[in-house]
Amino acid sequence: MTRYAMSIDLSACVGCSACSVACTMENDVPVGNHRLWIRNTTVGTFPNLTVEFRPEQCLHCENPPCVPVCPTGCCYVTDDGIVDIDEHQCIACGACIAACPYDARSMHPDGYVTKCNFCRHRLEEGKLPACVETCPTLCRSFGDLDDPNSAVSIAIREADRVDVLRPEQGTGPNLYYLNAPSSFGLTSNIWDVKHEEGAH
Amino acid sequence: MVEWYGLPWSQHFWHWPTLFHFAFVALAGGMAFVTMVATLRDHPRKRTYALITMGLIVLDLFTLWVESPARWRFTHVWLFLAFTPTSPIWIGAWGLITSMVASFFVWLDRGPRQVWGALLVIGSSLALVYPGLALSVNVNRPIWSMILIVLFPLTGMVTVTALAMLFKQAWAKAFITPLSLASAGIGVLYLWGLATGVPEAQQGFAYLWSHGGPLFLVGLALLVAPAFLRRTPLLAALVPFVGATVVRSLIVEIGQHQFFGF
Amino acid sequence: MGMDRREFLKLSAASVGAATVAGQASAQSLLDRIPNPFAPMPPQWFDGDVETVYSYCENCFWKCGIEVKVAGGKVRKVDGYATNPKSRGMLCPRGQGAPTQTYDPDRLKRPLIRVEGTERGDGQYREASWDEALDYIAEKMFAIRDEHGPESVAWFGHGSGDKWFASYLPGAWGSPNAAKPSVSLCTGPRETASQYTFGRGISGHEQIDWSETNYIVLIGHHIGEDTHNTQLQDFALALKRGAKLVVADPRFSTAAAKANDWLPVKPGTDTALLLAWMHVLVTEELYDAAYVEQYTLGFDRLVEHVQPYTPEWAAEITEIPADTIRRIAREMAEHAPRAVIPVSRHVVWYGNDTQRNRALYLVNVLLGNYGKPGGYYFCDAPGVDAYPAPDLPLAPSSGGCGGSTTDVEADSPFRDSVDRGLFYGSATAVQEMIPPMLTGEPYPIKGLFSYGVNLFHSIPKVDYTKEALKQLDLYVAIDVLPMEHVMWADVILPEATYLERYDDLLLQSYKTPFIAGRFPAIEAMYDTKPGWWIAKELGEKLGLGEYFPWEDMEDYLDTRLRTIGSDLEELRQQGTIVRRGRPYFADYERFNRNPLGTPSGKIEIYSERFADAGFDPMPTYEPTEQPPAGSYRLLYGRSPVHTFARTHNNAVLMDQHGENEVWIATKEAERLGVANGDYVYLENDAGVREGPVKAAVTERIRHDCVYIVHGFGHKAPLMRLANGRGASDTALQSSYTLDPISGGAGLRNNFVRVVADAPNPNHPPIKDLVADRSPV
Repeated sequence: MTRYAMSIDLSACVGCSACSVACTMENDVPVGNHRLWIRNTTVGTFPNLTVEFRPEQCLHCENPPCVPVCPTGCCYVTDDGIVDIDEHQCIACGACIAACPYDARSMHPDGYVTKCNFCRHRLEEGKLPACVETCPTLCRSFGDLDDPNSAVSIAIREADRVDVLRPEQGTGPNLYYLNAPSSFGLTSNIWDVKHEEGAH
Repeated sequence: MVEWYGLPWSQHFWHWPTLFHFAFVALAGGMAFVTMVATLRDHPRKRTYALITMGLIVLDLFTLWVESPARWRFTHVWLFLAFTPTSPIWIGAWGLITSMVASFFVWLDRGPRQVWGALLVIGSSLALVYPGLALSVNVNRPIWSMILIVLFPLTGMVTVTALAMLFKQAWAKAFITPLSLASAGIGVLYLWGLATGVPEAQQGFAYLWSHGGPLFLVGLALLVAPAFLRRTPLLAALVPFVGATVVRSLIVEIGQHQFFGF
Repeated sequence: MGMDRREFLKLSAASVGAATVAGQASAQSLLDRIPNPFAPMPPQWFDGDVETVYSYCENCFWKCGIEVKVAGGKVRKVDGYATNPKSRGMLCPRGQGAPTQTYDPDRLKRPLIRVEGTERGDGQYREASWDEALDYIAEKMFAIRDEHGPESVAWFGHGSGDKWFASYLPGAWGSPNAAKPSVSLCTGPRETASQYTFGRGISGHEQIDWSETNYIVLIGHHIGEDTHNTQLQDFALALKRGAKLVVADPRFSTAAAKANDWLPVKPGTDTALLLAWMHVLVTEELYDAAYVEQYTLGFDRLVEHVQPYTPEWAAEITEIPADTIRRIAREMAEHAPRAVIPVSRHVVWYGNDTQRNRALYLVNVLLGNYGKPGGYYFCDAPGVDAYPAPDLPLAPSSGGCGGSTTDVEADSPFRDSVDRGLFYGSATAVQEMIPPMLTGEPYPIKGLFSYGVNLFHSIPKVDYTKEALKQLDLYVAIDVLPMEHVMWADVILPEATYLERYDDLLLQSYKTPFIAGRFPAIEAMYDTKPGWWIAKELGEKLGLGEYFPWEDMEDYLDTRLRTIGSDLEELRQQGTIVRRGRPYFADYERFNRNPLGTPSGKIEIYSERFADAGFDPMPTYEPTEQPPAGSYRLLYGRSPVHTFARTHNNAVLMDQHGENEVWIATKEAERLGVANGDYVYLENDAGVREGPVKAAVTERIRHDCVYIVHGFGHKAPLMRLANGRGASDTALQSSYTLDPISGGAGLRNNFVRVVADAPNPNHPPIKDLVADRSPV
């Protein structure tokens, strides 16, 4: 069975946002909504600094908290492991937005919830998601986690360090962050770092 | 320093009309509960209660419709064409619709009273429980802790009992104080649970405290007040009504924050 | 979704109309408009037929090859394509977001003529036909020519069409005063330094052999914030391969975040660092002796020259520990020749920039990497003949990014350009063409064409420029958006965007030189015209028709392509034609040829020509001016999602990054009482105040400088997304230090004070601004 997953190599990512803009254009995401955005976090003090450049989007969780709370069943998981939305059944109640630990779902101005779906329409044509295809640092890998020879399986296997966002949420993300620059892993998985540096 | 290119949807997803929904649904669910008891006990004012229940449900659903970004899409029909028992909102929708139908027959005074009563047992409890449930299922938002499953029905009953008192329903006087005190007690437990819980909960407590802590305490104090206001029924009704609404609203509004970098 | 705003408005207008005309019809259409909750979502653009057209990107000047996806007559997406050596199937955020500009409702839509009797800057215009606008221009130009000579018309250009307005048309008209900001406000010094060291330019695309290098040292080079697509790809791949990275920068830049070593060098002291590296390489005999022997001239003099420049000496100046300086030099040598210090792009910093870039090249030469794998490769543009037309009366003079041009010949009937004699090099310096508008010296400039050059966001001393513009007899702006400087022009000519037009062939010097084509994906919107058409029509009105013998651009391109055995159709199908390159010395030596173009045929470590002209024949360190107490050096750079000041009305890109922030070191901010996210003003000694601009209080910058991203702070009310957001670094550049060799305008000797407690301007979110913009 196919189990789609993505990895982002944070040692290569420069946070340029090409993925985010490509996503916006490909999926006609309205201005003000983002299916994909960049968080660049600085930790440390001059001159001993670390900056983590981190794209964030829907993580297509193994155990997605957004799906069971949907009252109409319009949030669902495909056989390939993609968490998707059947927009025409969405009542815009916001339950899934509330449930998502990653702020990955947003309200479309036309009155439904929208988010990353790994560019399913492109996958059907045998193409990669728009973000993966355009990334100038080639930090993204995509493919079938059940296939040991897929790009994503190889990237995860070869990484020195593999992290997921907010593992304490028990969501089982299918988006893996590789080679996080900080010795302690992803910046926002550390409460005090987040609290001190997170003000924006 | 954090730089953003594009932003996650970390803004509030429920806005001020939602607070009205949470207030009206408490009244609607509570009133359905009252109608249920009245129906089962064949209370003389059961038809009036049923009518008020229907009115409150309609008012609540209207509020929901007005605030819904999907109001011109009419997709709410899917609530009743889907079977999603894990969704508190689906549970609530069925609770309200069941209460509506049962209340309608109670008002008509047709059909088997026990059946309508039984339906109202189910409908009203679902309608009372679901708001708290809809919040507490979001384990990612620590301010919405599990204890809300108890706190919300209780405060909901406080508001409807207070309303009954305002309309001089004799039975209400006996219930307002115990319900308010129980709400206040659970409210204190709620705060204590946050303040002494896991780090996320503590952070939630700090956030709740800094964004409305004093007001929350005022809300709790207002819930304790009826114990001292037995001689002035008007105040004994209004004060806990305000207290319960303040506590519920603050939890709904502030609890939308999740601690993920903002 | 499937319906854009305009169609929607049309639809609602139609329904309203129906309601007033016939009640019956309205009931029917109302029924139709009640949404059906069971209906599926409207189709997405990619659900129907999608046509693909090849082009190259115009949202920066890296010019990546793109395939433009058109659905329903609208460009929906652009992507890179694999066979184009610059995009290789990928694109940066600016490229991805570029089509939004074409559909910007704030675009210039038809030719405009300034209302008679109004002042420049008043912004009062009347619509005109192309014919009228071009006649108006021609008439004024003839008047200028009659009174002052053709040289008194200056031509500034930047963008793919600048070939016409900063080279071809000025050459045909007879003005040597044609300039590009990309030279004297950007790359000029590195080109001059390269010409006088190697006898070759660097080309617009830095010719760094990323794929072969193992050790990279960046000095003020902002890869990552500067998202030049291919460069970023190569950089990322090099790091992935395990290449070591050292970044010297007063700021912990994006590149610094990826570095093994960050050297927080004191601003203005980079040359000292480079000289110390030369010192270590020479005194410890770590240089590539065989390479130096074979290819260079004057090494023995360098040995003597660098003796005083010890790491200890440099440590005092640069505030980088001597041990670190020594270690980096040794590590470079260890990895040589696959160790490289890439030259950066915007190099007009302190006025000594040619010498600093010479120093940078010379370290590379000592490492033996120039013309060797892992260092700098050689590249030439693919040869395609010009369209057969009569020789221009004057050789085109603005040069490319390469900047190098030739002097007007002695027997020419034309006067030399107004900036001759102000500096040694032969490029034209755009900022030096402003003073003659006011002073009339050496002769007056009375006419100005600005093709895509933002006069107020690129040229320092903005107020001076404004005064100068007031003295002109004719000022023509050719642009896409109503930028502030555009709304000063006498005549505004709206150009079609890159998706709507043909342009000349892109002849790219690259490791594999290639030819790329731009084909229109959609018809030009409104009454806009491509640059080539404007040039040809204007040329004909100026009586220069003989220089524009082609029918149209298809004829022009096809004729040129046939000289290499291809044709327009082939390019239309392929998008890019790739040629074989000769990247290394070995590729030339095989044919007994020498790629070096210096008079000596060697790499000139010691420059006789500089010595003769009275300049240091080898680079020395000159201290730069330091900020007065209470002021900070104003550094500026790039946002990954913006290009110059061009993209700040692009809704999608502004939604990513909608205002710039001023970086202030944490300790300085504490002293100033500025908290992260507060708004402040920036103020310079000339009394210019910019802002309010948001403060980013950060550990990522030295205490003696502040940093803002360039290009924000537009004062152009007609650009409704850009207007008034952030601060303009150019506005704060009230002075510059002229590089006496290249003519570059050193911009980093400007100092600013941070004024706390500016009011929060409460910028509305971009989405609200977008929603409020009704199509004009």
